[in-house]
Amino acid sequence: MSTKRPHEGPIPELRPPMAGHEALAEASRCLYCHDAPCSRACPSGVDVAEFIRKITTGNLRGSAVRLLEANPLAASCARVCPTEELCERACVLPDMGLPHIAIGRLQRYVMDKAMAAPAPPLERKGVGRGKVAVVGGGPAGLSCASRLAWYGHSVTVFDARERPGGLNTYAIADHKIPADFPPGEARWLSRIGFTLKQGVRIGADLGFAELEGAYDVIFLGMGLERSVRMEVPGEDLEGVVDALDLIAAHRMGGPLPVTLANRDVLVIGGGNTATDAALLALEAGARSSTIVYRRTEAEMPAYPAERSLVRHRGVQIRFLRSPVEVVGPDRVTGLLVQPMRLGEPDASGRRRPVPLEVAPELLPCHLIVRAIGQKLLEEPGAGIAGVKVHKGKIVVDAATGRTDNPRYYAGGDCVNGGREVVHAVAEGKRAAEAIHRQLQGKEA
Amino acid sequence: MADLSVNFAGVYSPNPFWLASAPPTNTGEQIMRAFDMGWGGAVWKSLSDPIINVSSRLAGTDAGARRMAGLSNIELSTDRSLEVNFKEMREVKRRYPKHAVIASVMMPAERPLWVDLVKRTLDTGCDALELNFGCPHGMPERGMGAAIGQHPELAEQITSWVKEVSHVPVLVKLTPNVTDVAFVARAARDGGADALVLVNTITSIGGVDLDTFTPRPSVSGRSSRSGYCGPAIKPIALFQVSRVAQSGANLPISGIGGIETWRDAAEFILLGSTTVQVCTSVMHYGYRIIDDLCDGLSNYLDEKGLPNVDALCGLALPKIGAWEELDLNYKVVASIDQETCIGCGNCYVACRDGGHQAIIAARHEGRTRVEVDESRCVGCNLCSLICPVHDCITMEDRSPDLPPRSWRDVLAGKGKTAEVTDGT
Ligand SMILES: Cc1cc2nc3c(=O)[nH]c(=O)nc-3n(C[C@H](O)[C@H](O)[C@H](O)COP(=O)(O)OP(=O)(O)OC[C@H]3O[C@@H](n4cnc5c(N)ncnc54)[C@H](O)[C@@H]3O)c2cc1C
Ligand SMILES: Cc1cc2nc3c(=O)[nH]c(=O)nc-3n(C[C@H](O)[C@H](O)[C@H](O)COP(=O)(O)O)c2cc1C
Repeated sequence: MSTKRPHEGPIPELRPPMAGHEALAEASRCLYCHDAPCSRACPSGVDVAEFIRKITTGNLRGSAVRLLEANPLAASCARVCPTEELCERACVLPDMGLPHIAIGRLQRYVMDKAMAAPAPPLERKGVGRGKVAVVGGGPAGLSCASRLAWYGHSVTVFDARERPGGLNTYAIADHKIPADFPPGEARWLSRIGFTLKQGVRIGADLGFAELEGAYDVIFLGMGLERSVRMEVPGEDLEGVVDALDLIAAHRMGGPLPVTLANRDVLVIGGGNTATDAALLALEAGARSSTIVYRRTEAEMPAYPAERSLVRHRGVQIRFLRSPVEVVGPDRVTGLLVQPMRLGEPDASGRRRPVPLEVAPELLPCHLIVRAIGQKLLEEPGAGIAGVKVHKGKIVVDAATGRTDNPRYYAGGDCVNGGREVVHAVAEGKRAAEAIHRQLQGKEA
Repeated sequence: MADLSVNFAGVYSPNPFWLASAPPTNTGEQIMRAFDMGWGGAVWKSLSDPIINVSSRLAGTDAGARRMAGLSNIELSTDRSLEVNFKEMREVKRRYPKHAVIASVMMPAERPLWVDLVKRTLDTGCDALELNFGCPHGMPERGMGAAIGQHPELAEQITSWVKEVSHVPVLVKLTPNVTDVAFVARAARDGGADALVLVNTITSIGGVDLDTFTPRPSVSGRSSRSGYCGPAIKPIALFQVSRVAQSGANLPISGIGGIETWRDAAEFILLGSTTVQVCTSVMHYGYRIIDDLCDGLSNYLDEKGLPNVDALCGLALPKIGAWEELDLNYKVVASIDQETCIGCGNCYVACRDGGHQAIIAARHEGRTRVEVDESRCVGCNLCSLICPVHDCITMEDRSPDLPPRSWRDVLAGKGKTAEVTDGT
């Protein structure tokens, strides 16, 4: 009998590679639906049925082309997309009692083959003559850059970090995507014909005014870099960390900002960042890892699969608890939380947590990890006429991704407030289409 | 990027993929939609004297979970009026001048009937005529279709009548329901045909309902012989195409029969087809399969470094010859990859009961372990064909160090053959 605790050992890869015969057998199960529900469920508009059919005919190149045309980050999305909530959930096979098609893994299969070649199999589609600067080398920026380069425009991506890929590189869990994969994918995509400039923070190392002088259009895909604070007393005590700092340090293989071994860790939040951070704490040797969430399981933004994974690995979840004070005195020794109940639905449609008329409860701990959301590091609007920010998000036209300043477009987390890679890709693509039209002199 | 456009007996087509004369080409509306989706040409549903079709006209043959690996039909020619067909055909040709619009026609073996139909059809501006000498059901009973295609003299005669009045290329569509298709192919050529099209459907019974004893498709409790098509007939059609390509008829060929993927199409082209036609797969999956047909073929040509479809045409033909020319000194044996073998034992059973008892099975660490006894293996391929694991059983070359020797050489007392060891 194994005496292992439930969380021990690395988490198995979420979507492992497929061998050729596996892919063929799986692809052959696809019904090739008309107006396929899986395609409709894909925010980036991947023609799922067609890319899978091309696997069955042995046209793997064509399959990759079809994927990349819809979603330049098809390789990343194959690994990190919540497919069980999107395409795979829409599959009709379960309606007849059969398992859904493993769309994510099939997509990975096609892209693994395609990425064995030095460059993407996309032939230049146009002779665009525009010059475009992309601010941010995350999924949104790379998607926009890939598409504009494909149309023949001259594109430079400026990214503040050492390595490209954005949160795909610095934040997403190891069992979904290894940290070195997104940078490799970014370089591979750049061979469509765009330039990647790492370590350049626009606004600090290079001004927006300078960009405007050198480029026709600027795409903002800067994500949300600042963690939202709990705004409770004691928050700045030693022992309170941001989930993203913790995860990023781990992803880069460097020393973690805090020691987790044998500590009792509380993770504040209810989204996938919270679940990832809670898992990471256990992996780094924490004695206990507990998610503290102010509503109930039904309102948790973390997907069911993530919730069952954290439970399976031994993470505790405390529902209906809202932080009121970090307890010291010198460094964290506990967190005072207010027991809550659910009230009326709020703007998000989820029921609002309301404090119960009882005294706060003390949760003893050594470390507190903040994972309650991200916002813009700084508002790029400062000094750029027409780039408006509302509630921490850049405001754009829904059809084109254009800001009120016609030379600025935006997309990804900095526009949608933080969703998934596939949404960032879709918004980068949306902007690229409009930018291309604008640069051709057609109204966006 | 390879050039997919072809010139088929003087008919230009943006790609080699045509819709075969059948339900997918019933109406102008359908054909225009198909052209919009990328089909290069369409052979209009056969025009003839007015007929009435039965309801319940199709029966499918499944292969396990795979539906409609074969399709049997008892549909006749168009059941819409000729006038409506002509009007639509004219419209399609006007709106799609660069696509191949071919009119399929069939009539009983009477000159005035053919001449009249052909003249009226040509008036539409269609790019070519396809003479349906192939329909194996319903029409032969009226002296049409296969009733003509099974008689070389009739086929030649009618082709020549049509040629006399046609200013566009005349394609003759052949039936596979003959002993040797080469005879009719040459007869059509002698009648003046500009190109040959094959195959039409193969005579079939589409199955029998075990409860009612009625063959399929059942028309109110009775059935009739049907025409079989779809993926299941591909090997037959491939042979027929190669046979015609090597018949000396020397005409361009439009290949048909079970084409579902670009790979199937490439095989027909390698055996001498310039264009290919598709019916069943479109009935199964819709016009949308054209996307991968074109894309896949184009990628394949690029991969092979071939500039266009013509460069692929017929490349496999020189490799088909008489059996007695094959090298008897060539020897392969099965080799099982123990790493990937899952121990299902199917190769063992197949070889034991349907082969040459060359696979040994034993229990090994709780599962079946199979091994090849090379001294008994004749290299028939059977095990490699049934093995469920991709590339697990491969055939390895074990040819002796001897010059090739054919059966002809044996008869002529030439050459040397390695000792045959069959293990007994
Ligand atoms: C912990 C965590 C787990 C996640 N897990 C998943 C998951 O499993 N699946 C999924 O689909 N999504 C997941 N996401 C969400 C996903 O990572 C993001 O939605 C996506 O990366 C957003 O892409 P983006 O391009 O908009 O922004 P980002 O990925 O944030 O990229 C923005 C880039 O811009 C750079 N930048 C910012 N400002 C500047 C500037 N001024 N000049 C130059 N460069 C700048 C940043 O350094 C960064 O590289 C997760 C997010 C987090 C935080
Ligand atoms: C329902 C049905 C109707 C057909 N009608 C015609 C026809 O009118 N004229 C003709 O030449 N062939 C006709 N065919 C034969 C096809 O054109 C084609 O030769 C045959 O189906 C083989 O191709 P496939 O395997 O791609 O289906 C018909 C086939 C089917 C299934």
